[in-house]
Amino acid sequence: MGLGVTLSNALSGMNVAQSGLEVLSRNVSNAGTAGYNRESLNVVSDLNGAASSARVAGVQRAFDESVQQHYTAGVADSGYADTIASFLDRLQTYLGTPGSAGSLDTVFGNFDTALQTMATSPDDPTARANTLASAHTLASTLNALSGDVQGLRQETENQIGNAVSSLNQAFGSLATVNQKLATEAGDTASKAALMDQRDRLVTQISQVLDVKATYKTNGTVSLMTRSGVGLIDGTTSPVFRFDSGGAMSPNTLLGGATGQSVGTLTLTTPSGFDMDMVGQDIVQSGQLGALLKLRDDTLVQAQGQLDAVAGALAKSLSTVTTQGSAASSGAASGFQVDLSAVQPGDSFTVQYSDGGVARSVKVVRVDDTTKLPMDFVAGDGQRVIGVNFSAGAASVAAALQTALGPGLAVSSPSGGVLQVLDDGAAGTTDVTALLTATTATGSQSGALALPLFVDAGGTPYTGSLDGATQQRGFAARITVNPQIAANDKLLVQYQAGGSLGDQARASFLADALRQSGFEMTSATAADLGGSTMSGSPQSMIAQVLNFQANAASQAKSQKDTQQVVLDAVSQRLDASYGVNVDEEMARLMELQNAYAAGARVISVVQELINKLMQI
Amino acid sequence: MIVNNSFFPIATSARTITAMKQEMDNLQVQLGTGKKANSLAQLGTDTLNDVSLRARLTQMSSYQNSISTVNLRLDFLDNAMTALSDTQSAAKSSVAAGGGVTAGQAPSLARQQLASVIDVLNSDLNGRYMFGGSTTDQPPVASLDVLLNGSGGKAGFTQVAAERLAADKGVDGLGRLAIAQTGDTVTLGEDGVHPFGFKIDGLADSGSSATLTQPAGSPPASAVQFSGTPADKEVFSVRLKLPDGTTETIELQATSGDAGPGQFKIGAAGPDTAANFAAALGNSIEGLANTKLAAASAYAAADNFFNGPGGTPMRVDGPPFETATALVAGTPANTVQWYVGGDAPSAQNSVAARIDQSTTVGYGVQANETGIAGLMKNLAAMAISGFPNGDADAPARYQAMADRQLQRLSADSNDGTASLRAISLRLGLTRATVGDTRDRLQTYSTQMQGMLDDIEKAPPEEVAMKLLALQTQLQATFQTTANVAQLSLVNYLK
Repeated sequence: MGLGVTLSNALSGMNVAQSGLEVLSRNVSNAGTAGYNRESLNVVSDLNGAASSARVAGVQRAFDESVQQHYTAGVADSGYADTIASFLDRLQTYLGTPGSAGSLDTVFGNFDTALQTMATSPDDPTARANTLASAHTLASTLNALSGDVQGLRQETENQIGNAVSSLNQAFGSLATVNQKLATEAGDTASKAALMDQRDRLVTQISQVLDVKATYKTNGTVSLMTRSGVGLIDGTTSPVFRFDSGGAMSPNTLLGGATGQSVGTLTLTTPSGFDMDMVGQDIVQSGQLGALLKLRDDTLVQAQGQLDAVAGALAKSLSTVTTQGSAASSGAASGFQVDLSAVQPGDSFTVQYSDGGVARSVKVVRVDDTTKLPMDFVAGDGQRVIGVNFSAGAASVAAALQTALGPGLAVSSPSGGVLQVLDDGAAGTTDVTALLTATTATGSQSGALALPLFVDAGGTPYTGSLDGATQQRGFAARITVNPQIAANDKLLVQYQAGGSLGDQARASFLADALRQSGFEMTSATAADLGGSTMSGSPQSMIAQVLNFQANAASQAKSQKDTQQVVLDAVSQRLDASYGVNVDEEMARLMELQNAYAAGARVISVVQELINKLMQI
Repeated sequence: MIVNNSFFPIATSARTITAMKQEMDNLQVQLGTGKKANSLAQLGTDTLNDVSLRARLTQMSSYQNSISTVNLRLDFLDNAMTALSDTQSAAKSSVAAGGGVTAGQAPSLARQQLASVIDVLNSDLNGRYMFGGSTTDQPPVASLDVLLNGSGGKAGFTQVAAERLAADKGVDGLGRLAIAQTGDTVTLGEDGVHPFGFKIDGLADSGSSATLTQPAGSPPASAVQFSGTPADKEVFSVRLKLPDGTTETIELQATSGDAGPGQFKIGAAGPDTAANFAAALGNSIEGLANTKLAAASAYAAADNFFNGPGGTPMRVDGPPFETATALVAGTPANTVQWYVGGDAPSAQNSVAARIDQSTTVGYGVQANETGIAGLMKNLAAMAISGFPNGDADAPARYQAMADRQLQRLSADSNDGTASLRAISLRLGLTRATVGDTRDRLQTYSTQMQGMLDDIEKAPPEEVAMKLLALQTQLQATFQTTANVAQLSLVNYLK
């Protein structure tokens, strides 16, 4: 063993120390850089006979695949919860705190009070003007809320567009990174930087879309959605395409007709397949999942609730209940009613007892044959049947006879009239009442009910179930009857020339608003994802506020939970990858000493050689 | 909080600090507003209770508003009813014996009183007329001048009453009766079938000298046949019904001397006695027609003109009126309609207010209710009468009018479902119901407000405690974070 060996050993040590310092300086300078993974030096010792030198074997990048998977999933779920919470928080802000000026319950309360005051002083022009003004406020509050909901839906569309373009960009970059990782042998340090970039891109993608990552040995990553659709494997990136549906209205729905459909989201996989991402339920979480859920589900439901409130409001004031007149044929007795005023959405009710058990059947006019047959039991226990009235009373009688069975005799003795009789002498069945609930169309037809709230263009609101249903989007269209707005005396005079002091109509309206009960029909129940509301308009408003308050507060707590989960994973991640400056400083002293020691060895060797030279 | 001196956890601690700061802001808002929740989401599961309580409170406050309005109107009605009642008492006492009002003053006094009654009935509360039932937008009663004198071709009460008087008196002033003498028989018959003039109720004889034929047939006819010679001081009486439903008896005393008023001379034979009797009967009937029949006629005219609930004003079908045989409805075109307010079967329920979820009170009053219409009738009948000094029948006629007014006003004030007193009582009961309901609502709303406060109010002590705790925590966190930041090897390496 000679001095030369000592010299080269010391030099190798100094080289290692220099490389160590280089890694260390990178660690220290990147302490705090998001997505930077701590690096360390692999040092091996070479034994060549007598020589034993240290050599850098490569830079090791700290990485833990299992923690990384957790982190990716956490980011997606937190992105989902964040987005839902922020939208629902805005929705509840629009609805307002109960009792605050302009909140739905306050404007309804004002309208209710105004009606009550008008019932006490129908001849007071101020009371009538107040009723009209508060009715206007109520209608425009519903219009505004409906606009707010659709505005939020519009925003989801815009954000979906943004999310799609950021996804395309991220996938493009990821494909490039994958390619570099696969092909470049490169030095380990630059490879580590690429992998940092790779992980950042995966995190960025998972925030938008829920993905699962598989890491290959060469450092490349392949991604597939949680639902199992492969997105990238290697260097070909998928293409996401979003075709916006244009302006949002309550009728713009998923899978709607042309011009009434929301934007479509298409994925072209690397293998060239086109997939409908919404229809095939590919997106389950991440911002994109949240945006789709809000656009096609949560906000549609909120709109449905507002529509139900608007519908109940209009119908409570405009429904004319007419009792049938007694009818008999031999021993059989019952009632008959005139069906001519029953419009689509209106109904009549048969109350009868069968073997001592009281029963009630509500027959709703549904002329849209695609909605038939309709026969269900509503939440309040009432059986509801949909019948097509367009072919006249005789066909209504036939349909009702089929539905009721042989215990009752349903017939149409003359045009437009329906008669229901019991079984006569047998005495098993008894018809107790037959009454129609129709929508008043005029303001001075003698009926106390008044179509104060109407659909767009002054069309009466009957709550027709035909087609898209009149209720859908009614909150956006509800308006004060222009006839009444132009002449507030119609709020009191139910007959032309009636006395303004007659409180009959005003009292009827005040009572009807408080006492009418509504039950959502099955058609609406499905639209609302099973959440049905019932009761008076006031109680429906309470239910809407309650539902949205709970939804918003749950979304917030969900968001907090996800944040805690993500924080915990982040802590783990930091512990595994993060740079500990203290540790690095200690290592710095170590390397400094090693370098100084190496240099000392060299200087001793130098002295020794000098000594030798002087001999 | 996790303390770790690597760089990443600073982010975590920063997040914790931000959260605490937000909580602190939130608490400060709570302290400022006094409310726990400042958004719907913060209210969370309490929303349904909160909204329901608020809705109930709003309803109760609307009922309380109604109650205030109703109370104001009841006060107004109360005053008005007191005024009407006072007028009624004054009208009664003025015609009573010793009332200090002379026949000459009575009509103008009645006219003044009628004017004040109409003023009360036509007064309004903020533009709302209270005596027209559900018709609150116009004065319910015609003005005094129009009522009495008519306007624009429409007959007023003066004209209608004059026509009635003509119809009641008949052509010859015998109150639509006909007297004829044939031999020893005097016949007394009505001149037709109609509601006017006297109606013969029956004949009587204190002795047995004459053969009486009681009224029969259509039109009714009766007869007195002096088949024997009446005894001295034998009294024959004829009972007559007057148009206002009262009955008067004419008594004629047979006398052998010269006949004074109410007497007839017994003749030598039946025909002579009959002639004397017929002449005396004619005088008595004419006298009665000028006094009591005239008074009764005025009241009958008032009864027909001032129609009650559900009726129409009636007047004599004519001209000619002296021979009229029927009444016809006075149309709005030819007769003043004294009452133009609402005419509901139940005056009380024609104006109703809901003062609680299940309580409705009716407080309607219609001027055509019997008590008020009765007062109008009496005063109007007196107001159009005249008792001139030169008229020999005037004192008796005034007495007949005064008797009727006294009797009618006393009856009206004492009984009848719609007398003034009954109307006042009705309003008093309504006021009691309204008062009870107001107290109940007051109690309820206080309780509900308490419940609402439990949900909404943030007790300042609690918030202050929380703020204090949070402040301590935040300070500790700041301190610790600062200390941890110092704990870096970098700071100790020289």
